[in-house]
Parts: sequence; structure tokens; C-alpha cells
Amino acid sequence: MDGKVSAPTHRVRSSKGRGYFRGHDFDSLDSSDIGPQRSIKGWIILVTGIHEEAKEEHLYNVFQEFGQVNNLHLNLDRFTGFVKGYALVEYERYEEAANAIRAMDGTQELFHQTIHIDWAFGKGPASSGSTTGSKHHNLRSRSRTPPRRQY
Amino acid sequence: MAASSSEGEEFYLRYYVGHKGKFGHEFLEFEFRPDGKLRYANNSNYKNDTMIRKEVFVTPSVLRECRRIINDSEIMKEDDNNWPEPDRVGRQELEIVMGNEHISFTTSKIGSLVDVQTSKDPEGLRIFYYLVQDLVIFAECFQLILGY
Repeated sequence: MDGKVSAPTHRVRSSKGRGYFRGHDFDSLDSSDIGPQRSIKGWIILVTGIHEEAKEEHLYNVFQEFGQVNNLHLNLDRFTGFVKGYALVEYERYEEAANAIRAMDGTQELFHQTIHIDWAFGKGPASSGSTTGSKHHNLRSRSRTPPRRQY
Repeated sequence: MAASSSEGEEFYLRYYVGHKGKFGHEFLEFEFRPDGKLRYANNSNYKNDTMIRKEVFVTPSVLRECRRIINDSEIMKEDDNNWPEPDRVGRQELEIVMGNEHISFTTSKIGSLVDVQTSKDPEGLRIFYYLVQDLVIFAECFQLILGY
């Protein structure tokens, strides 16, 4: 994505808190698998942008149009008690899930606000910041440093 | 889909809650890594329950939703300076990297809202209290739907 070559700079990052900065190690990005990952039970898609008053049954009915929905999780916000905004929908077959994504991603039919749908699981590591879908490119052996911010 | 200004920035999340007690080290911990790997571990030794440990790769859409939940909470503006220290009853750890901001908060277990309201920083601790519940539900959703 970024082919710029610039002198390595020490990225300034603000840190807060009493905890140990365990940081995180970056796995080597050596997987060449792309594409969604089938879970043990089926194909799972993530729906986001769901209206806070959405009803689970309504969601179920809509997604049932694309195939047999084996599982649907619509979680609530612990503070408000309303819908948190995302849902996981599990289909038995790949085509059903793919059709649901194709038909509903970016639409406003459901709640008059835009929802997005994508696969939930991938086969391997993805470069951070990539857009929806399971494309990745320029895999390197370490995680890429974000571009330096200009202030 | 229009890319937000946060696309491409680094993201990491780790949450731990647990204690070491009569039944050993009982804890729940999960981690969303920059490359999309979700690691989840739930160890309850009570009555010799076995540890649940799962790893799976989630898509950037999942990380994006996780970031949204965190941003909406505004936890990144808080500080754990005045929060109760971890104690014998247990500890919680929340570590988040979002771009060039990094928080690493530790505090004791929070039993209920009463603990929040009687603390030295009720506003901040309340944000933490609800956020970690939302994050636990979020992470558990992905490992639950995977089945066993």
C-alpha cells in the first residue's frame, strides 16, 4: 500500500496507565491463504451499523431470505440496554453467506441507516487497515509501521 | 466504503480479568492483534474445569467494529491513576493501542456499580466497567460461534 521509502523515524506514541507495557509481538506474515474461513459449523458474516432498536426477529427474517440461518447473535450494549450495533449471522453454505453480503452490504433497506456486511473470519493474517474483503498484499516479515503523522 | 482517517493505523487490544485463589489461577483473557488474530483463553479451575483456549483470524471488518466500540466509549481519554489497585480479590488489565495512543490500565475486579460509584474516579471507572463488559461479549461471540 505505501511504497514510500523514508528514513526510519521514531514514532511518538503517548502512553498512559499503570500497567506493564507488554506490548505485542508481531507475527510473521507468512500465510499465503486468502479468503474467508469456514468455522466448524458454517459460514459466518459480521453485520455492522445496526440500528439500536433493531429486533432480532426482524434481522432473522431478513437474513433467512438468503438461506438457512443456523445462528444469529445480536448483542446488547451493557449500558444502554439497546442493541450494540453488530450481529453475527451463520449460514450453512458459502453461497448463502456470499449472497447476503453481496445483496445487503452498504444498503439502507433495513433500518434507514447504512449497514455493512463482511466475513467474520479469515484464513490467515491480514495487513492492518485494509478495506473489506480478504485481500492482502505486500506481506512482509514484520508489521508495517504506520505512516508518520504530520502535526 | 469510505475509508475513515483511522484506517491503516495500528490497533491492538488485550483484556485480562482474573485472580489466583483457592482453585488456582482463574482468568479470562483475550487479545485482538494487529494482524487480525484473536486469541481467547478462559481458565476456570473450579471443579477441575478445563481451560478453553482458542485462536482464530478475524477480518479487518471485525477489528474496525472493535475500534468503533472502543472509540464510542472514549476510554482513551481516561486514566487509571485513581482507580483501585489490583488486590487479593483479583485484577483487570486493559491494554489498547490505537494509532499513536497506547493505554495500559490495571485495576481490581469490579463487583458492581457500587464499587464504581464509591471509587475516587466514578466517571472514568464507569466507562471502563461498561466497556470491558461490551468487549467481553464481543470477543466471546466470536469464540462461541466457532463451536468446540
